[in-house]
Amino acid sequence: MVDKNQQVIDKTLEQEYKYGFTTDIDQTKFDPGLNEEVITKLSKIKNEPKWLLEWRLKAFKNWKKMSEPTWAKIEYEPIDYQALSYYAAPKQKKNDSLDDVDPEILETYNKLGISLDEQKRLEGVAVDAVFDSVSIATTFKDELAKHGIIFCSFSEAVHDHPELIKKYLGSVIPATDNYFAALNSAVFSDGSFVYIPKGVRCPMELSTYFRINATNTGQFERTLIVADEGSYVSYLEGCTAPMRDENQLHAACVELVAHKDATIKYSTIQNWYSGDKEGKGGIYNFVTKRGTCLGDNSKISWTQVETGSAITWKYPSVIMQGDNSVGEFYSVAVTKNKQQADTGTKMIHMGKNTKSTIITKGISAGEGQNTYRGGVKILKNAENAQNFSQCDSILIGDKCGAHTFPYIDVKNPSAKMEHEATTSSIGEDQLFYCNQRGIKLDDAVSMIVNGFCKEVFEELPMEFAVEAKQLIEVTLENSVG
Amino acid sequence: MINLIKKNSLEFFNANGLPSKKLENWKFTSSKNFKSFNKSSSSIKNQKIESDELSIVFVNGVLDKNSLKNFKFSDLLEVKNLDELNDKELLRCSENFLKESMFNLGISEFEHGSYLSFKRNSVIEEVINIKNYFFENGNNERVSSFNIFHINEGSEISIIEEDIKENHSIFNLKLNKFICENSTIFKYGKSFNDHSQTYSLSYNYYQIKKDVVLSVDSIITSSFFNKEFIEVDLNNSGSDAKINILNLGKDEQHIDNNILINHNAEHCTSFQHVRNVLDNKSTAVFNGKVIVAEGAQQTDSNQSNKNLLLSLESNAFSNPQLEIYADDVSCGHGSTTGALDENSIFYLRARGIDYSSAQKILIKAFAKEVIDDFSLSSLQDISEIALDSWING
Repeated sequence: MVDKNQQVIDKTLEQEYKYGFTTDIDQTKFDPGLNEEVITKLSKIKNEPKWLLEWRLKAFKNWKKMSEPTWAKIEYEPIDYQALSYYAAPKQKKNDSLDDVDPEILETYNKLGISLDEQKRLEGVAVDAVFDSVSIATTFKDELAKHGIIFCSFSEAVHDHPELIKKYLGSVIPATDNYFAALNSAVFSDGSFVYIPKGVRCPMELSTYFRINATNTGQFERTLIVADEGSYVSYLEGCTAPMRDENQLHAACVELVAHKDATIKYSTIQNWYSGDKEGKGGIYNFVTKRGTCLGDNSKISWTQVETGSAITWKYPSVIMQGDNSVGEFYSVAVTKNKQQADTGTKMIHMGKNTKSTIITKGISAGEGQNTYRGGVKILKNAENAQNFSQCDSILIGDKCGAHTFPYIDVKNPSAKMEHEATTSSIGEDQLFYCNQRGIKLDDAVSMIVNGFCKEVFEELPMEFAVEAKQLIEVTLENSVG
Repeated sequence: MINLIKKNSLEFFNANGLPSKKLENWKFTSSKNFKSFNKSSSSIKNQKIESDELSIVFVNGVLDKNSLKNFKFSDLLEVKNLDELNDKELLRCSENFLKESMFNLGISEFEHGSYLSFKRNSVIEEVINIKNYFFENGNNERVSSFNIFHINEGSEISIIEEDIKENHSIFNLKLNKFICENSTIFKYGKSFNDHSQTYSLSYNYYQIKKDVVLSVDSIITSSFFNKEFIEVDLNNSGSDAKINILNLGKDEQHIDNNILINHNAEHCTSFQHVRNVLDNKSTAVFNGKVIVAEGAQQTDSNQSNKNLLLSLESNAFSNPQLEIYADDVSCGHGSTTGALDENSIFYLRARGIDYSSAQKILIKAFAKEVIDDFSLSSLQDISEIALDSWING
């Protein structure tokens, strides 16, 4: 039995990463190195206004003073920030229509299963595709414009809607927030911008698809979503990268602002290349994501499925400022081979009757290390705040690890705070039960793991839920605990 | 041997100074008042102490050898000065404690530490009382102590420790090491119930061998500042460690429990249950951690921290952590914080019980769940009395 288990575990861990191809295209790329000049040059290429350049330089100045955080439970080779190139883009300029997009790039997205061709799309999802550092195309723009919704690349927004950018950029994640956020603020290249006007319910799912292609580059995108009073938006994010021997850095920032009665739902399926069996290569994913429930009765919900990246360092947070606001965090994180994930959330209750829910599911296989790190803060004025956290982990194999570090600070007695966590392997009895009913071992594992993750998958939009389920199935096929 | 250890510790403390809030273990506990205490100057003589045939007395952390004359089981007990010990293994303390600057300060300062060893197969059914008397020459003194308790194979020992202090401000830095050999049962209870403005900081290190049953029960009802580190090393299979702690906080009390359980071997179980009831401006910190090492299969571990906040200004910081490197384990933790349930109060009031009595009933019910888990029945009795007087007082 033991041998058989080992065999199937080994077989699983040999699964190839199917998005690991590269695309050959002409591209403009900066020489490696980071200094004021590079930032000025970057800003100039993007034709940015002066205030933004100053903002970047200020962030850079701060970044130089900061040191890389070491508290996370992850181990990695030190990153040489001077050896990275801070800008890479396909040679073509921004495309007005899809016909102008390099067919190679379109082909890449087709291979990834993301069709940018509006005619062919049936699902009604508007996509902003970011290839290396720049946004390639945004679909359904006109349709969305009819509702007054702004959905465009960050660079476009800087030119077309400077007042909004100026108002909200850095309002949730200040340029001095943390080491990686400061770096992102200094060198961010592109990203998406969404503005939903008052009372509008966004008629379709909005989505960004990130793809790292170039070698030796870092990807630094910035997403800003503003939902004005009474609006609703559901936003999806997906990511892949080619298989390369070296480690690539991805340091993104996502800022969400929800005004009174607004709801933002942000879903991520992160499937960056995770490195090979020996842990060679893979993406270092250092991401800062934070949302503010600015107005009363607003709601921000984060859902994430993390299966890729060699290193994941990510804590989507919600600051509940408005009374009766709601923060949610649903997460499934899978680590296999030598992947390490240190992920979780921070829920800060400031307003009265605020409510937060945290549900995380960690699955560790092979030599993967999976850490939940969460913070729940109930401040003095947050009367009747409620929090419920549940963090469960499954371990598959005897070399992996699962860790839970919840920080709970309560400063108001009317708060209700509950935290629960369990860690275990897949029960022999559960497997036996399934086997006995004629279900194969592999199917049983897949069934149990999917059942384990169900609470989170239910929160994903339909298209994503199917993808997530398949992703987990592929990742864990043939594993037995 | 001991002098070399002391010297190294002093160097460590001088290099690192008082712990800062940047350290994980001191994040919510300020060490800034520690500065106002000075090392206690000389030993105390001619103070009145009471002892009976079941008690072992320590005066300012130093074993009172006179008290052993009356001690009923002195033939089962072997006592040595720490200076006489040359066995590195006996003196070795937890790696984590060695990184703590206050622990190092204690090591460098203690005078006349004792090594108390219960002989093989000593089965003592009665509960032994350890009485810690604290006297002082002046105000603001820091008294450091370091004692080692060795429970040899096949023994069954129960101890209840209590502090007896005069109403002065004193800083009590207490270091203890407990070694439980194979097949021992060790029950250790603590009841701190003094009303003085004392600071208490203790480091307790438990080294557990094979098939040991360890239980640590503690109740603190009033101590101005109380921070306790507990570290348990489960080094061999088949052992069981249970920790039950009840803290009742009032006024500006600060209570901090720092618990680390290392599951280094398979088939061990551990259980932590910490409840805090906090009134006025009191603060409680719970820092619990379980580390299940690679290969420590069939571990069963549970952590539970529940905080009841009775006033607007009370604070609870809870940080239950799990680090697991083995797959065939069952580990869980839970933490809740909140006020008294309004529905329960309503239920009681609907039955003719007035508001304040209803509150008292619910507080008692909450606290009693821990007391019921105490493995020493005599500590249960002491605790119930202390609980009642806390609630009514």
